[in-house]
Amino acid sequence: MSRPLRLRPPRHRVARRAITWWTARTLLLAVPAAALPAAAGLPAVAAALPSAAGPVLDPARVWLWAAAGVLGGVGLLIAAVVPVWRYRVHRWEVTEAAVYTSSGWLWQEWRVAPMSRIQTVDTGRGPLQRLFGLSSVTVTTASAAGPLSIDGLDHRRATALADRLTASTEAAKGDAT
Amino acid sequence: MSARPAPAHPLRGPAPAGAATAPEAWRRISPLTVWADLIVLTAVIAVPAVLLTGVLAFVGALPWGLLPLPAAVVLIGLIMATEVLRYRATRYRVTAERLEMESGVLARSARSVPLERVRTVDVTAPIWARVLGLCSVTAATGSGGGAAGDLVQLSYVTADEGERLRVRLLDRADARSGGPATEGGGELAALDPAWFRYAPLSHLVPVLGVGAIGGAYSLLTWFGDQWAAGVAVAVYEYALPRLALVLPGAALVVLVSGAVAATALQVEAWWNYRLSREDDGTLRVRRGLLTAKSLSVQETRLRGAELRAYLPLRWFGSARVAAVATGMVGEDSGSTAAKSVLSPDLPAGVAHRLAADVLAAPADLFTGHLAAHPRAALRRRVLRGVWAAAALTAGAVALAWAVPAVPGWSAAVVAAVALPGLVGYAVGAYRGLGHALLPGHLVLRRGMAARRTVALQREGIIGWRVRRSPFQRRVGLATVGATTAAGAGLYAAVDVDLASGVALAADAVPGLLDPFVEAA
Repeated sequence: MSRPLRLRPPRHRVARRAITWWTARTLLLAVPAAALPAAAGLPAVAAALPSAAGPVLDPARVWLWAAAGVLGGVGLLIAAVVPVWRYRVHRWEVTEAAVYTSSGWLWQEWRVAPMSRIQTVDTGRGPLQRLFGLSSVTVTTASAAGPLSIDGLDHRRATALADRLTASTEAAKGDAT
Repeated sequence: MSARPAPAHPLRGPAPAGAATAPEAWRRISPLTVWADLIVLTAVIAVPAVLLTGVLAFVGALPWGLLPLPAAVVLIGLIMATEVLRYRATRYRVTAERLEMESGVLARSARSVPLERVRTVDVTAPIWARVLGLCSVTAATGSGGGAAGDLVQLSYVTADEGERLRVRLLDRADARSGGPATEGGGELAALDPAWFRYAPLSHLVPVLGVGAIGGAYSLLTWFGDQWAAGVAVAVYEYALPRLALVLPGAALVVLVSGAVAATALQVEAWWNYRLSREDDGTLRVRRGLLTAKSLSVQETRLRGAELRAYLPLRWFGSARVAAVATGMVGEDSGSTAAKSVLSPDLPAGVAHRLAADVLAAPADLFTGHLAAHPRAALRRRVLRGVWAAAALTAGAVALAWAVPAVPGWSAAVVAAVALPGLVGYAVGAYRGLGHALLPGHLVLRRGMAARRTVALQREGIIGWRVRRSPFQRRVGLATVGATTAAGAGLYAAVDVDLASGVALAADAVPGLLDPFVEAA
């Protein structure tokens, strides 16, 4: 090609609280995943089961604890590393002409959609996001490639952004295909 | 025999007062519909019933053996009665803005589709309708968001009425003004029977061959399950001691019957094939031997064209042409994907020209030079092939170790076959990658077993998606995808150099990416 170019990162980061949200989201999965086999391996539980004859080194129990350790370890690692990593990657920017987002951590993705091709703009917040005062803004186009999504925005900022996007896209003509 | 305006609706009384000012009164589907149904019912119910009675009479099971005849008559009578009701309950009209249809005997339904949302009109005449001069008309709206959208189907109307509807439903000012070439009307392609020579080489042949044998077996079960199972067991017992002879023979039978089936299907589907550009701004595909089909696509819905070349046909220099159009969803939903195919398997040169003609683009659109992708893309693919071969070999070693009956050298055979095969596939996949930016179109090519070359209209690109995996980031590659409202929704240049990929995207749609890029 004529001139080598690279995409610069979008201008704005998402809310810093998003790190806490992503951590909480991971822990909410990882803690039960680790606690379940651990609880099943407890001596009290094992004793209640008719077949649990052996003492501490009952092989089934060792396996359960190993599973709990692995699940817990991996979960903690993800909870410690991934949210910060995501925070460094997740960014967004809206200009007069286009919406520009970046997201992901290991696999990263940059999306651009021109304002004139935007079909709908939604804000959404799950219970966990609500707890941290966060929202997601979802921008759909006519493409089957899926919407652009900005996760972990401050709630008020997300609402303002959605209003602004809605106003700009209403001004554009045509059926956005 | 034209459809007459229905004077009064059987369930709702006279047509609404507004109909007097409306441009068109309510119409009925053709009364011959009922007779077309009778033909089908005779074929699927009456004929088997007569055959069954014949068999029963032959084995001497009379008089009970006569029972299928009155049963068939009653069944056909019941179905015909409901069809008469359905015919009487169905009416439709095309107003200035909408296609309206009311139907349903017990549960009435009224559908109303704005004409501006109708994207394709499909006129189909199965053999039993064709003998009565009838056809069915399906209007698809393909609303966005990947849904297949609404379908309104009228079955059956007269052929004249079908043609009138086809033109009427797609005839709009916006379609005319936006079409790429109103002067270039006329025929783009017509069937050359020599094209059917590709049918026996299709990748579907083995599948069809197995299917044909399965079909033969189910024919045998007509004579009784036990009898069919007996034949199968006899074949098995014959084959077991003669494997060296029977296996190649069986493969031959599968391939030959598959080739025959593939040719028959291809001839049935594409006989009388014609692709034309109509004066009303639509592309029209006509084809079919037993079932005559006509599909019309508005050219304003066209966002590009695609060449599809599948192995092994690609080795024989064949490709087919498909449309990339909005309202025709991608691969996932079978029926619409089938509709986007605009040609049978063609000689590659013909396919190249046809695809360019469809877009009213210069003839060299698909024959020009495509930029190759970086060597790192080749290394990724070869490495993946080597890993896959290693995994297969490891599996074979494990199998030989676990199952004493499997000889140790079988792992060596697996390695000797898998490594060159997979590395060859990797090299082919790399050679399949390419992209080019032309004045009106972005051309992207990818794939080994199914190689697709798509030419997207640059105006039809509605955004970009750049993706990088950890491996791609390490070697400076990226997958740069153009999003579009048509076809698969995303067409990507896979494993391009990041800097040139972003430059490609920035050049393809001027202005869109400029605020977000900087010199590398």
